[in-house]
Amino acid sequence: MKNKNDPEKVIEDFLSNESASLNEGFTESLLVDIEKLDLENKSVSRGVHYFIPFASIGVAFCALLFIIPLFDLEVTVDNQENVALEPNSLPSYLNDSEKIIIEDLMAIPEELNVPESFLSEQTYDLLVLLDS
Amino acid sequence: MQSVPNPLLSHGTLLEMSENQDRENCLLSDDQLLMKEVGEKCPVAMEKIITRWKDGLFRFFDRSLQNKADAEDLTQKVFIRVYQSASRYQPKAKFSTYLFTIARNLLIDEIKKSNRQQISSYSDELIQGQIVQPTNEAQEWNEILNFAMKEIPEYYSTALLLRVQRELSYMEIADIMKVSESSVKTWIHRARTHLRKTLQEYRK
Repeated sequence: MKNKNDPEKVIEDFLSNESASLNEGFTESLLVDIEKLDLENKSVSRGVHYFIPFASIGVAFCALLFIIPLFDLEVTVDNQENVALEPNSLPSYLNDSEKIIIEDLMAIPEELNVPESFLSEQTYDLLVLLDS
Repeated sequence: MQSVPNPLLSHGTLLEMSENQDRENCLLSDDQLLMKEVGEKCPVAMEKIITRWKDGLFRFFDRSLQNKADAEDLTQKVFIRVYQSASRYQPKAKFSTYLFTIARNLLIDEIKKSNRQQISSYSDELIQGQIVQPTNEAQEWNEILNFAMKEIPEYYSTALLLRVQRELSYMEIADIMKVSESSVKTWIHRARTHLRKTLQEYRK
């Protein structure tokens, strides 16, 4: 049996630290803390769940705001391309002067496609010129 | 979350599955089973784990930090971390290995955070009056050994404490500390030698 003054025994006793213990209420207070932590986590995750529908609606709205101007831009570019291509498709039997007049006509904005716009005097003059 | 039995599974298949589960559970230790329950947010299981391990952890931290308040704080932090990670817990190693890996990580964080100073010597502190003159021999040895513990690196004392307090094998300590078994043996030997030497010096 080891003497209590034996250095090995002293070191073993010191290291094992058997006399140290926590206070009585440690477990209870820790369980209360854990419960609180659980409730906090639940409220945070609930908050996140409430936020998800609003966030997705917001994202969709932003996406729409971003996509719509792009679509408009594409349409405009398409129209410009059409206007630019049409003079090239004019028949070869037309004179240069006639081609210029037709190109001028085509350069007039969209309203010319509406029958009412042909009622203007300027249009009649152009048609007469074409006929002559 | 409770698992809902699939109505398409036959009675035989369900029986087989439950037998497999039972067999799996038989292989798990008591603590590992408790951890499974903690993962399902069972407060009773958590209470059992705390009751079973609190003193062991506290003694480990108390000897490592030599401060009862910090030791209590860290013990609490370990259990909170255990609770938070219980749902992801995989019973690959012994529960004690898992628990003391968390404990050691927290201990290292605490040492870094508090930037603990290495104290020159026990006699210096005594002369400066920073410690109370011990009233008996046992108390004096404890103070001397406390100072000796402060003089060794954290990994020496951790390895030694896990060996003496928890009676863990060298392999288990190596697992916790993520080092080789031979390193653990060396550290424990050096730590013991240092404590023995310090004690002998003051007893002369």
